[in-house]
Order: sequence, then C-alpha cells, then structure tokens
Amino acid sequence: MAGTEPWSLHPSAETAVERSLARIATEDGLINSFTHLCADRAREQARGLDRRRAQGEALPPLVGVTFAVKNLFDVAGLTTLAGSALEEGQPPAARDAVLVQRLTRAGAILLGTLNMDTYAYGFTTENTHFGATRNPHDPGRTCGGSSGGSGAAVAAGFVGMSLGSDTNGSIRVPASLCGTFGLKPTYGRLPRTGTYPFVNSLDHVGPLAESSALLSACYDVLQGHDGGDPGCLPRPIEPTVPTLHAGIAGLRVARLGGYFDQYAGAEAREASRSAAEVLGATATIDLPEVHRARAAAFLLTATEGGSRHLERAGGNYARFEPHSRDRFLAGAITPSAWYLQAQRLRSWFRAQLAAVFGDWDLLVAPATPCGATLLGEDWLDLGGERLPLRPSMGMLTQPLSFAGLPVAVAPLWPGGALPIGVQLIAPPWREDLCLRAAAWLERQGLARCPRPEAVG
Amino acid sequence: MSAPDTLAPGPEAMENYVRYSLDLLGVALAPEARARVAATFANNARIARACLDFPLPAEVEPAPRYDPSWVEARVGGDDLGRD
Repeated sequence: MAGTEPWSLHPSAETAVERSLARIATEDGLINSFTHLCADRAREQARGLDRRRAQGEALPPLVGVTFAVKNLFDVAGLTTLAGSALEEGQPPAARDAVLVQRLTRAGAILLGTLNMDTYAYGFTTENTHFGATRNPHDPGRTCGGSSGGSGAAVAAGFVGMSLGSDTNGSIRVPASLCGTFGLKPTYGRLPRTGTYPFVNSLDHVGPLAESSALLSACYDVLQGHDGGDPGCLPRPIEPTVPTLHAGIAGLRVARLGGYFDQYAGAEAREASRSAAEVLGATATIDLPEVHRARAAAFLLTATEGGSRHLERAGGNYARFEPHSRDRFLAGAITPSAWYLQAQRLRSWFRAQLAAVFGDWDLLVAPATPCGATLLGEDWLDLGGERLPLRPSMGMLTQPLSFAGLPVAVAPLWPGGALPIGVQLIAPPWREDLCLRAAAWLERQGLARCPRPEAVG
Repeated sequence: MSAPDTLAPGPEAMENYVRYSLDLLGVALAPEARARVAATFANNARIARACLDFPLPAEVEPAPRYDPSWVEARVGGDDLGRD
C-alpha cells in the first residue's frame, strides 16, 4: 500500500504535521473541533518516521497520515474528558487507548483530542462547557454528534482521519452532516479498551476519513481482538483493502423504505434513492418492527447511560451539562421490566434480520433525516411529528446499531451546499461489503468529501 | 409482555413515580429540576410504549450473554496477531 496511496505522497511526515497544525491554528478558532493539541508528540513522531524513511526502512501503511480522536479515547498524559467538565480534575491516562496504539504503530500521527457531546449523549456537539463545534461547510450549523469534533476535523481538512464512538449513530450522524466517510463496525469487532463507556450494550468505536480508501486502510489497522474489552469478540482480522475496489457485481442490494422514508426529509430520501440506483438496488423493502427496535435502543441507552451517570448528574446537577442531565436522571429510574423487554426485543430483532439478509447482501438508507440544522435549534419536524431535535437526529441510525450491524456512511450532496450521508448496511462481520459500496459510490462520483474553503 | 396500565399514568402519578424513585436513589433536586426530569421521563415512557406493547415469545432471552470463562485481566495492552 505504501507508495501508491495519496497519503504517502506528502514530501515528509513533518510537512504533513506542520500543514495540519497551521490549518488548525488558522481555522479551528471558529470551528472548535479540538479540545487539546498534541503538537510536541506529533512533531517527535514525524521526525522519527522521516528518519526511518531517509534510512530506507520499510514504512508502515499509514505513514504520515494525521489523525485525532474523540476525547473519550485515552491518550497518555491527558485527562480523558468524555466531553464533561466534571472529568477535568481526573488524573491523566497512563497509556493510549488500544486503537490509538494501533494507529500510531501503523505510522499515523496523533494531533489531538476532539470535542463531543457530554458523555456521548447527544447528536449535535453543542457542549455547554467546551463550546459548540461548528460545521465546516456552514459554521452556523451543527456538525452532528456525539463524535462531532471527529466529523468536523476531517471535513475541515485538519486531519485525514479520526476516531469516534457510535452508540446510536454518533459516528454516522456527524459523518452525514459534515460530509465525511465513516464506519461503524459490527458490535464486538473493535476493542473499546481505553475509552470512556456510555452504554455497554451498544457502544461501538470506529473511524471517519476523507476517502473510502483511507477509511478502509484505517479500519484494517484497527482490527484485532483485545482482552481488555469484554465486549470484543475474538474474530480474526479480515482485511478490507484487498477487495475495496471489487465493485458491486453480484451484490443483492435493496433500499430501505417504510420507517426509513417516513422519518427522512425530501433530500435524505433523494440521497437514499440515488445511492440505491447507482448500487443497482432491485427493490425497496421494510425491516420488520423497526420502530420498536428504535424504541428499545432508546430504552437501553437511557437506562444504562442513566445508571452510569446517576451520581454525577444527581450530585452535581447544577454543573452537569444542561442538554442531557434530565435525560440521564430520567433514564436512571427506568423500570427494570422495561429494560429487560428491550434486551429481549434485541434478540428477537436479530432473528428477523437474519431472514432479511438471506435475501440481500447490502441495504441502503439515509443516515440522517435531514442535513445539518442550525445551532441552538430544539425541534425537528419529521414524518408529521414535532420531535425534540437532540435525541431525534439518530432516528435512522439507532435501529441498526441496536442490531449491531456494520454500517458505512458515504457523503452525498443532494441539495448542493450541504451533505447528507447514506448508510450502507451489511450482515454482521461483513464490513468489507459496506466499504466496497462506499468505494463504488465514490468512484461513480456520487459520494465525495470536498474540503471547504478556508473558514477562519 | 403487553403494556401495563402504568404506561399511561396521569401527570400526578408520573410525578410521584419520579419523585419517589429519585428519593430512593438519594437524588435531591429543586422542584423545577424534578419537574424537568418528570417531563423527560414521561417522554421516555411514550417512546417505550412501542417496545413494551410488543408480545414476545416466552423463550426469547435477553441479548447479553454472560461468559463465565476468565476474562483476561490485562487492560490497555495489545495482543493477537499484530506485528
């Protein structure tokens, strides 16, 4: 791979780092994607990589690619904030999260940590303490969340790729609203070791990137079991780069209708239809009882998230993020019978999806109901309902992470100025199919991650 | 499991449930904060209905499966098959 991909063509790793740092210095004052810069660490690593290059050593696959991580990933020497002012006094992490270790070992260079919704409960990254992260394509609008800094930093061109977490859509929503590629792998595929948890039953981690090729290369480096995460399953490493450009011949593709059209605006439906057409979809299908799956995911999130943060939200109510403190406390008092029904429905839903994927290899749906909304908006009109915006931007992503399916997001531009991503959904453990579809949409010119004009 | 009647309680019952539950958990809130939590809980209950209304076969188990084998104690390292 090294020597053939665009990211290896920088004149040097040091140049790549300095370019990124300069762009961040100029433009991130407005965008507010970074909460901490690791400039010294980045420069030191870059010098080491350039020395290895000068000595003719074989270089690792992501050499010189800059990246940054949602600030719920441990970075040695930094306090893991998880988007919360309440964590600021905690001791710094002793070591990098496993996925940060893997990227660093692969030659990628960490530039810093990124803003997010407090404790990952939100879809807008309007963080009261650390400030809102703005959308690089329109700074008056949100970047999505909760991995909003991860979407904005890639979209702004500050880094080539980033890491985020996705419990109900927190990689896919910012990828959609910022116009980047993103991947939520199968539940249990990537280790969460060294990340701040939100909802153990639903938490995933994964990459966002400026191209499908970089997304695939990054994901391949991230793969591999780690015993530090009891939710990480011992799957073999299954590389996706070798088949990324295998095309779509032979794939049985369907577009998701029903619920996924009901809760999508006109542009989101158009994005879904155009992607489905280019991918050769032959039918529009419904998933069974998908609205119940969404409700069950909502309950698991409220209950587990509420339980985790009960003492923090209850004991520090005045200092706790106002956008989510009432949701955490309301979730903490969910009746146990409701929670267990939701966990049982998850098993039932998985069985229904097994039948669906007997007929299809890939499903297509919008990632968000609409493009980026204005900062400060509280309501979203969807499917004839007026819904609270912050929990509802994940209506289309939530049922799929509930099922644990792998989903890639490819950014489309149905209205011209602002992106809306499409979800490319495959059976469990078939991330390769999601990524092949994303690469196909990019090759056909439908999906792209353009860098905005300088915004600072 | 069908939806119990308590899913559609009146505002007073909902507020009482929230008040007593928070008391039980040792969370003391000002009345206006407790009212916001109660309103949020009422919204959760409305969303929950789609999950709770759905009868499931008795043999369907909750999704998480406990694995009794020893969990590797090491945290934050890296393993298996990487050079």
